[in-house]
Amino acid sequence: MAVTTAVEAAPEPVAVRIRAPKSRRSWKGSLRWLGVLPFAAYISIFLLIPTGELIVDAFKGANNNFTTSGITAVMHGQYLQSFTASIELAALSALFGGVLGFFLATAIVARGAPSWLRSTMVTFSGMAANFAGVPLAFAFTSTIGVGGVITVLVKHFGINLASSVPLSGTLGLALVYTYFQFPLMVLLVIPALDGLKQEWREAAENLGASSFQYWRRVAMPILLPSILGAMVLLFGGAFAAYATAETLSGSTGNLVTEYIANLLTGNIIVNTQISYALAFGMIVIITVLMIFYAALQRRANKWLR
Amino acid sequence: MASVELQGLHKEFGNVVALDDLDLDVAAGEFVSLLGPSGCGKTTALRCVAGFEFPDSGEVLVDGKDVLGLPANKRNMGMVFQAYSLFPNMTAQQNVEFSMKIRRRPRSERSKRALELLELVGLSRQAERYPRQLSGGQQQRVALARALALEPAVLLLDEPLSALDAKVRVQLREEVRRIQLELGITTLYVTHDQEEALSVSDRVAVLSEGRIEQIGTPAEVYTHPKTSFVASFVGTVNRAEVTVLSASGKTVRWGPAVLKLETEAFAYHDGDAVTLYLRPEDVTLGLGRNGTIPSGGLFNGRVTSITFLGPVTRVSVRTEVGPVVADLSSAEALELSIDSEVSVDVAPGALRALAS
Ligand SMILES: Nc1ncnc2c1ncn2[C@@H]1O[C@H](COP(=O)(O)OP(=O)(O)O)[C@@H](O)[C@H]1O
Ligand SMILES: [Mg+2]
Repeated sequence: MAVTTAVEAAPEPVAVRIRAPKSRRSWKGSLRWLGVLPFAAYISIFLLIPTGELIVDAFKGANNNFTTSGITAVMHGQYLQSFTASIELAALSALFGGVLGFFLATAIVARGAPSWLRSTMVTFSGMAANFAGVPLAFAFTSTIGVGGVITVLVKHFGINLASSVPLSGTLGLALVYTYFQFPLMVLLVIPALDGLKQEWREAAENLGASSFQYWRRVAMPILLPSILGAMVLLFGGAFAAYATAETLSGSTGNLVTEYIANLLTGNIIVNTQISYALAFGMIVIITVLMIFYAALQRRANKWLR
Repeated sequence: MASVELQGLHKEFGNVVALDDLDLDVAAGEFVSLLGPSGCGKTTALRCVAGFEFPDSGEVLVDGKDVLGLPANKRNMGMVFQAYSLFPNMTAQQNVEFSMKIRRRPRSERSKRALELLELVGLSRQAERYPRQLSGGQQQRVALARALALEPAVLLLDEPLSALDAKVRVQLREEVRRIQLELGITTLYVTHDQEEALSVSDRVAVLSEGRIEQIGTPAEVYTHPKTSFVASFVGTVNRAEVTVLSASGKTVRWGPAVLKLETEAFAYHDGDAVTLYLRPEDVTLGLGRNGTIPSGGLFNGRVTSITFLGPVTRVSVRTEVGPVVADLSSAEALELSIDSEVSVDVAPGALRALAS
C-alpha cells in the first residue's frame, strides 16, 4: 500500500529579482562600507586635487590675479579649432565604432549563434578595446599608411589610398580609432542586448510583427538609451585620447590633447595658462558628457534591469 | 472560432524526445488543458501550434487547414506567456494596441478596442500605466487583453498563472474561463497544476513524456483515470498491490479483506497482480464506541497524522496493509487524535484496479 500525492511538479523557472538582503545592524556590518576609503583617497589625490589645481590655474593671471583671459583666448582661433577637430574626431569615431559594434554585438548574441563565438568575440574585444597608441598607429601605417602594404598593392589598380584618406586627417584618424571603438561598443552593448527578453520578440511575432517591426517598435526604443550611453563613453574616450593621434600626425596634429601636450612639454613657447584653459575646456565637455551619460543610464535602467 | 488538430506531432531536441507522436483534437470554442509534469512537452506542443517551434513530423490543422507552412506572425493566434512578456516601453493600452498598430488600423478604432479589452480584463483604470507599474496579476491581464486584440482564431496560454500568488492565481483562472466562455474562443491552456486544469477546462489532456496518457472531461480524468500515471498525477491517491481472487466475481484480496470491484470491464484472470487506486475522500474511518475496538470496516488501524486543510482534514492511518490516507470533513476529524484506533472502510464503487 502506497500513497501518492499529486506530484507537486516544480513550477517552471521564472526569473526572479532578488533584493540584496538587509545588512545586519552590527558595528561590523555598518562599517563595511569603509572599504571604499582607499579608493576614495586615490581618487581625491590623483583626480580631484589636480583638477582643482588646474581649474584654479586656468583663471590665474601672471601675477596670481583672477582673469578670464586664458578662457577667452581658447574660445577663439586655432584653439577653438582644436576643440572642433577633437569633437569631430570623437563623434565620427564614436559613430563608426558604435554602429559597427552594435551590429557585431547583435550577431554575437543572436539566437542560434554558436556559443564559442560569443566567448571568442568577448575575449578579442577585451584585448582590441585596449589596443591603442604606438602599436595601433603602426598597425595602420604599415598597412594603409603612405608606404603601407595595402596602399602599395592597390596603387597598381590606380587607387591612391594614402592621399585620399590620409591617416593624420580626421577621417583617417576616425578609422584608426574605430579599431578600438567597435570592440569597446561590443563589450558595452552585449549586456543591454542580453536584457532583451525572448518573450518580447515572440510576443511581437505572435501579434503579427515582422522582425523589422519588432526591432523598430520594441527592441530599438528599449535599447536606444543604452546605445547612446555607450556611444557617449566612446566619444569621451576618443575625445581624451592622445598617443595614437600624436604618433600618426606628429607635429601637424591639431587636437586639443595634442595642443596641451605640446604646451606642457614646451615644444611651443606660449604662456602655460593657455594649456590650463584648454584642459579646463576639456573638463567642461567631459562633465557635460557624464551628465548626459548618467541621464541615459537612468533611462536605460528603467527598461532593462 | 476554429477547431485545432494536432496529428502525430513529433519533436526531438538532440536525443530528448519532447513530443512523441502526439495527437489532439480541440473542437471550435473548446477549452482544453494540457496537463503534465515539468518537461513532459506541454510548452513544445503549444509552441508548435504558435509557430515558434517546428515539429520533425506531424501536422497542425486549424479548421482543417495545415498551418505549419505559415510563419508565427501570420498564424493569427493569441499567445499569453508565463510572465514578463509585455513590452516595457509601452503603456498597458499601447501594449494592447500593438497588433492593431501593426495592421495599420485607424487610431480611433485602435484605442476604442483597446479600452474595451482592458475593460473586459478589469483594468480600464490602468490603461496609462507601464508594465513595471502593474502587479504580476495585472500584467497577465494586460497580456491576455493584448492576445485577444485581433480576435485570434485560437488562444494559447503557457502557464500564464504560475508566477503569481496562490490567491491571485485562483481568481485569475476563473476570469480567464469567464472571458473564454464570453468570447467562445478556442483555447489551449498549458499548466502543471492539476487543480487549475480541472477547474477551468472543458477537457483535460494529461501528458507524460511527450504523449497524451488520457484526455477527457475533468470529472472523467479524476474519477476514471486510465493509467497509473494519470491516477497518481491528478489528485491524491492511495495505491495498493493486490491479487485477483475471482475474475468472474470481480473480487480481489486486499490484506484480510475481500473486495468486489464495480467495473464493467474486468479483463483479468484469477491470481493476476493488479494495482488498486482509491481516493482519500472515498475512505471512511470509524471510531469504536466508548473506547471499544471499532468494528465493521475492512481492517483496523491507528491514526499517525492529522493535517488540517480547511474544509477537509487529511488523516493518515497505519494499517496491516500499509498506510492509508483518508480525507474527512474537518468536523468529523475533530473526534480523532493521534493514535486513535479506527476502522477503515471504502465507499462502494470507489475502487479502481489497473494492471500492475
Ligand atoms: N529548445 C530546446 N532545446 C533543447 N531541449 C529542449 C528545448 N525545448 C524543450 N526541450 C526539452 O524538451 C522537453 C520538453 O520540454 P517542454 O516542452 O518545455 O516541457 P514542459 O513545458 O512540459 O515543461 C524537455 O526535456 C526539455 O528539456
Ligand atoms: Mg513549459
